[in-house]
Parts: sequence; structure tokens; C-alpha cells
Amino acid sequence: MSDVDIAGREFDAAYYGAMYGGSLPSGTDLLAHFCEQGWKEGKNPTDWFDTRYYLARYPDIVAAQMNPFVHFLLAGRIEGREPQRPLNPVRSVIEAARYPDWPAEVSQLGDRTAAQLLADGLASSPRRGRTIVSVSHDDYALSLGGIQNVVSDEAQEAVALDLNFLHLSPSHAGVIRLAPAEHTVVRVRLNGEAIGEVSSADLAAAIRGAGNTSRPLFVIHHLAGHSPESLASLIERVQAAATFYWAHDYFSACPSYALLRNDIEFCGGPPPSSAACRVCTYGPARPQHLERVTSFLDRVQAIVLHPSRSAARTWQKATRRALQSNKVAPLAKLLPSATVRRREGNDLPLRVAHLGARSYPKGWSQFEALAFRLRKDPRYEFLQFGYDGPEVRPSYIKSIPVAVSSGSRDAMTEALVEHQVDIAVLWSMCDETFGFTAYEAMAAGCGVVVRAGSGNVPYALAAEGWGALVLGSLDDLVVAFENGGAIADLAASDRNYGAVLSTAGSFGIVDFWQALHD
Amino acid sequence: MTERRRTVCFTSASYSYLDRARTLFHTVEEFHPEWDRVLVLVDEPAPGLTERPEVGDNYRTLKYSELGIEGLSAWAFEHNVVEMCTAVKGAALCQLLGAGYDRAVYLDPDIALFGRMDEVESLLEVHDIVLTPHLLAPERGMGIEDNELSALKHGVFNLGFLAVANRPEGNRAAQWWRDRLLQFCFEDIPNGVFTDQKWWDLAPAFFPSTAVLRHRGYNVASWNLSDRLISINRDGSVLAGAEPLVFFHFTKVDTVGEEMLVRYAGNSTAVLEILKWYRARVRERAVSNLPKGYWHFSTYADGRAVTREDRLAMRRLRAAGKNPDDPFRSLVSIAQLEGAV
Repeated sequence: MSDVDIAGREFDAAYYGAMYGGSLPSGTDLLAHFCEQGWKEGKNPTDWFDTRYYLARYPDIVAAQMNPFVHFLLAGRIEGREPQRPLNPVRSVIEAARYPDWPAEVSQLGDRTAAQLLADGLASSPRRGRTIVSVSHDDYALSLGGIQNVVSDEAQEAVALDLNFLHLSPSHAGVIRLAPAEHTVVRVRLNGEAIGEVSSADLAAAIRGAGNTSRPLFVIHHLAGHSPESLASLIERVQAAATFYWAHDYFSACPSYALLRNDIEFCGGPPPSSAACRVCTYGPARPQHLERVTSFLDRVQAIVLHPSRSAARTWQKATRRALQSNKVAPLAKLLPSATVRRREGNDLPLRVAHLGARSYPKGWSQFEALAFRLRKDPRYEFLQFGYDGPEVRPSYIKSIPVAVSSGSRDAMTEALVEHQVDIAVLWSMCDETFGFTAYEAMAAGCGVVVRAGSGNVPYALAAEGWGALVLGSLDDLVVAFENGGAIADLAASDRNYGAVLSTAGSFGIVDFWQALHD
Repeated sequence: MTERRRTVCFTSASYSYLDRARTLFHTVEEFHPEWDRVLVLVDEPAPGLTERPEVGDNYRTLKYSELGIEGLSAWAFEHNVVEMCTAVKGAALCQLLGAGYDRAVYLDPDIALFGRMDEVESLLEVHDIVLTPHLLAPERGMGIEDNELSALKHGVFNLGFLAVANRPEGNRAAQWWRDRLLQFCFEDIPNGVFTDQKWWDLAPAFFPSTAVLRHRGYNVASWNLSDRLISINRDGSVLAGAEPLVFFHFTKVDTVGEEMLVRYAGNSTAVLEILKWYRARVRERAVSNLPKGYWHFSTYADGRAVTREDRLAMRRLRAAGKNPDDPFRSLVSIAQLEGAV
């Protein structure tokens, strides 16, 4: 048998084409290319075989000058040799985890033109109501995500209620950590219009000079990229009537906002002096981070809001703060409809989906492992609905790009319905504070397999009476699908379609309305 | 209440392991600030390398040449880097006990502390010697060959750790070890010798006050990891099996060691996290201007490599009573010289 015959058994032409096709003439026989020269160039035949790794690890193969993939299929696999670095996905996550540096700063003055634009904009605004100052970790008008959708909802409510909506985002986008205390420049958007970068002092002056006698309300959705000290000073200077602080994640407790120790394992936020924090890449920064956030919350007398009771409990443990004035406010509700879900066409294969980006915290690594294991199983077809990022897409998982934005909030639910997804695997590796994907899966009438202990998700499903399959580990997940009985039952059970109704963030909260009308 | 004792913690290293030794001593200071810290330096500085301890170093240096070893140059010539770094341990131990310390704790440079060594201090109240075995329980499967047979070849106890009390039996043991290492500290498994380590197989028979420390948090490494899996828990504790992790031995983690750790780590990512933590600490303490693979005793004065044949030839010469003055200055390789004699 030739190399081509042997390698051809498990060669993944779709993968090879996606990885290296760009540099090859069209019409190239990819398998032949791999066997003739591709392997010598260190190219991989599939996403689970690492040619360079195999040759580096097993010098006897190098000496024999044979195709490493052929060797693996003929003998290496039986001999127990590793086709790629063992535990490669998790090792890559751990190795990449690091507490980010703050970029070198040039000036803290901001843009004077922007400052003027803002001052004029506020002073001459036709909106008669008070100013809502909204703070989050990025420009909600330009990026996608759950928090961004909440901010958008609030921006829309503000329009409806004739309020000025002033949004502050970091001048350095994408740096998930607190800014140094002395950092004061923020990016500003007023009533939907981008203004530019303004210093804290100019911001305070513009807000005070707005001619509006009502004191502004602050709604903070995230502190990443901001200086809590500068923000507190601003809040004091403009004499805010109240400050609402949403704990959408656990950034209050640690720079690792999902409380993933070394980005890999949910830790719950143990004491900062613990051995666990000592070995975490975020450990050295954590004590000061925690102190700065808690000082901020005290200084501005923030009313802390949690999207679920589960989130409030986790937050309390991780921050070691009592919950006296904290409130629980869900971000959405499920409205069931009377329409029963019916699957058209054949019952098999069952369509099994991952909802969300191909990222480790969302459980992508585990879903990928499950799909790899069952890639030849005719009972199942695996799909990913969500952000189609730069990560390698394995050929045994179909990618359906979905973008849930403020204009298309139902995009995920609609996509799940359109593709008649039978089972949604919700395998978040951390404590979800709310779990929008659970609501989207329910609205789309999907059967749900959920990881035990993934925060609010199991509770949300239970609260809706949605009989989900709750499993503990990846091994349990694989066994359940291999056995198939419970999965088939889940897929076959009666479910209705529904709709996810967002609660408009802060505008859904009594205390906020009270503050608005004080 | 225990009387306050003066304890010294020492390690032995060449410049290429200085980054690790520094990491070790930072963790020792963190958990045992009351211990003195001594580095036995088995090297000479490369050109451009400062000999003084650098800023931030928290230990005293004791050079190999300050240990009173006779015929030093020829003696050094017999040993490769591992052999020499381990051969000086006995002499250093005797010297430190002689200086008046109540207790001496030796730790390998590639070890890091994760907690206090209280169990060692308690044992030293009653025992003169404390050792940690490579293995505490029989192995299964691959582990039998990888670990049990290996322990038979390399020694029951791992001499990455040793604690000795300055009492008569402790001193006798230290002197016995020093004497043996001056003569027989070689990698010679077929003849039952493995550097400084295999000697201690004799200790329980020679020295009744030897204690075998069975706490699984001490001296965790790839060879015993499967018996004491590392877990990092919600309460913040880091455990080895059911016990708190006290110190981890990061043997050869830049080469084969990492794959061995992964092989025995089970499903847990904890070992990988600890490994990342350790690598970051070692990188922080890197020695600047150090040529790759540098060791003063690896070459003749003119830069030619000293080979294993040269070293074996020197051992035969010394065994025959010949003690060349400064073999490193020889323009002819020692192997050739011996052949000619």
C-alpha cells in the first residue's frame, strides 16, 4: 500500500485546504501534495495530527525519513504515541493567560475639540430630562455582546423618555483590567453620536454646564479600561443622584472577570492570600484590584445589581461583601408560545449545537472533543452558532455565523429554529451570571444538555420547567451521547417555541425609576 | 513550646541553575523568613558575568573552593556537572553544622515551596535525619518501570531534600556522607552508585534516628505525581492528594520533565498551572550574559571540551595514586595522557 492509500484513510482535505490552500494552485490534489512535500514542510493532515510535534517528539521517525502521519496510522497509534501535544487545547489556554499591561500613555488631556463638542451638545440638547451617564468596557454601538445589548436597550429607553444618554467607554479598547488611578481620558458618545476622547475634568464641566437642574444618574455596566478613582471623582463632582452598578460578571472580585484561574478553571474567587491565588497569573494584581473596586463601590454608595440570585451568591463569596443593598434583576424573560415545535423531514441525524463563539470559557474545547469523538456517528450532526472568529474550524463541526446585535436581538433564536437544532449543549466553564443562550435555546424549542454548576443556567432552565439533561463532566457528556438513549428521549420530548423578551436593563428596576423621579 | 532553633537552608548549583536557585530562595524566604539561606556555588563566572550576588539576591554564597576539599582541581576534573554539584553537598553540610547551625535543610535548586515545612521541624525535634522517599506506594502499569525500577536504580530516597539536626548521630551521618561523596559521587548505576543519592539507602540501617517523611505534600514530582494528584480547590488550597502541597520538585521541566508531568497528571490541569507559575518565576530571575550550557569545569583552559573519557581516565589516575596538579591546563587530553602513561 502506498503512503497515499494509508494517509488517505484519515486525511482531512477540507482542513488542509482551509489551512494551506491559499498558497497552492487551484485544483491541486491535496492528499498527494501532503504525501509528497506537505509533511516535509510541517503541514498537518488533520486538525488532530501535529506533524512538527510528532517529528520533534519522536526522533526515530525523523531518522527513518518516513511520513509521520503514515507511521502514526500504521504503528504509532497502536504504540501509544501522541499525535499532538497531549492536552494541547488546555495547555495553550493556560500558557496564553496573562494579566494585561496598561499601554504607555501619551497625554491625559483628551481632545479639546471633543470637549467643546460635548459641552455644546449637552447645553443645547433638546432633551429636557436628566442625564444618564452609562459606563461600560467598550463602545456599545460598535461591538457585540450581552452587555452591549443591555446598554443599547437603555440608550433606546432614554430616547423614549427624553433623557440625555451619555456613554463612556475606555480610551484604550480591549484592555481587560482597571486603568491606573491617574488615568482620566474616556471615549464619549452622546445620544448615540460619537464625540471623541474627553478628560474627566472636561466631562464634569460639560455635565454641570448642561443647564439641567436634575442631578445625573450613573449606570455602570463594567469597569474594565476605566479608573475607578477618576470615575468616583467625576460622580462626586457632578453630584450624581445615584449610581447603579451592574455585576454582569465578577470583575468586581478579580481581573479574571469570569473567575477562571489561569483562564482555565472556575475558582469561585478564594481569599486573595490563598495558595490558589498565588499560582494564578492574576493573583499578584488581585488584592489591589479588589481593594480599588470595593473602595469605589463604597465611595459612590453604589446600588449593586445582579442578573440572577445565583450571580449574587457567587459575587458575595468572591468579593467577601455583604449583600445588604444589592438587588437581583433578570435581564430577560421567556415568553412561551402555544406553538409546539415540530421537526420537518428526517429525525436523524440529530442536530447538536454549541451556542456562542469558539472560546474556551463558553465550553468550546469540550464541545469540540465531543464532536471529534462522534464525528463518524450517523446519529448526530454537530454545529456551532455564533461568532465566526479566526480560530480553526474543524471539518466535523458546521459553523453558522450568528451576530446578536441591538437591531437583531432574535438572530440566535431564529438561526436555531431555521436549522432545526434538536439539542443545545450549554457547557459554560464558569458561573454564568444570567445565561442568554439558555433563553435562546428554550425559545427555539431545543432540548438542552447543560453542565452542572455553570452558574445561573441550570437554575434558569429549572425555573422555566425546561427538563434539561444536567451532566457533570466531559466524560459524562461523551457517555450520554454514545449511549444515546437519554439524548434521543430529550430530542423527542414535546417543547413549545417561545420568545426572549429583554427587560431593558436598569429601566426594569424599581429603584432606578425612583431615582429617576426624585 | 519549641525552643527557637537556628536553621540554615542550602542548595547547590552552577550558574546555569542560578535562576532556579534564586526562585527557590524566594519561596524559602516567603515561608521561612527565619531560616538562613546559603547557595553552594559550583562554578566560576563566565567572562562578563559578575561574581557578586546581584541586587535582589537574598542568600549568602559559599563557593566550592571554600569547602576544604583537597586536590580540588583534579577532584573536580573527575566529575560532570551533576556529579560535582551533588558531591559538594556533604562537605557543605558538615561545614554549616560546624558553623553552629542547629539544623540544616538541603533543597535542590529546582524546587519551590508552597507552604511551611512544619512537619520537618517537628520531626527534627526527635530525629536527627529526615528523608523523603521517591515513592510511598507500589505502582501500577507504566509506573512500575518508570518509577519503581527507577527508584531501585537511583535510590529509595530523593536527595532533592535532606534535613539534619546538629546532634551526634546527625553529625556522624553528615561526615559519613561527606567522606563517601569525596570518593564515590558518580553516575555509576551498574556498580550501585548514583551520585549522592543512592548512599542514603543505607541510612535506616546505619542511623536509627532516620525519619522517613510520609506526608505527601513534600517532594512532589513526576515520579510520584500519580499517587498524590495535585488539586487546586474552591477554598483556595492547593493539595497533593489529601495533604497541602508543601514543595514541588520541578525536575528537568525544560526538557523531558514536562511530558512526564503531563503523563501522570490525570485529568487535572492543576499541575500545568503550577508549571506555568514556576516557569514565570524562573524567567523573572534569569541570569544575564550567561552563555548557553555554560559551566566552568566543562572545558579545558583553552576551551576544548572535557569528555567523559577524560573524566573516567582521571578517576583511574587518582585511584592509582596520581594526583595531577591542574589538569584543566593540560594541553593534551587527559584520556590521551593516561593512555600514554
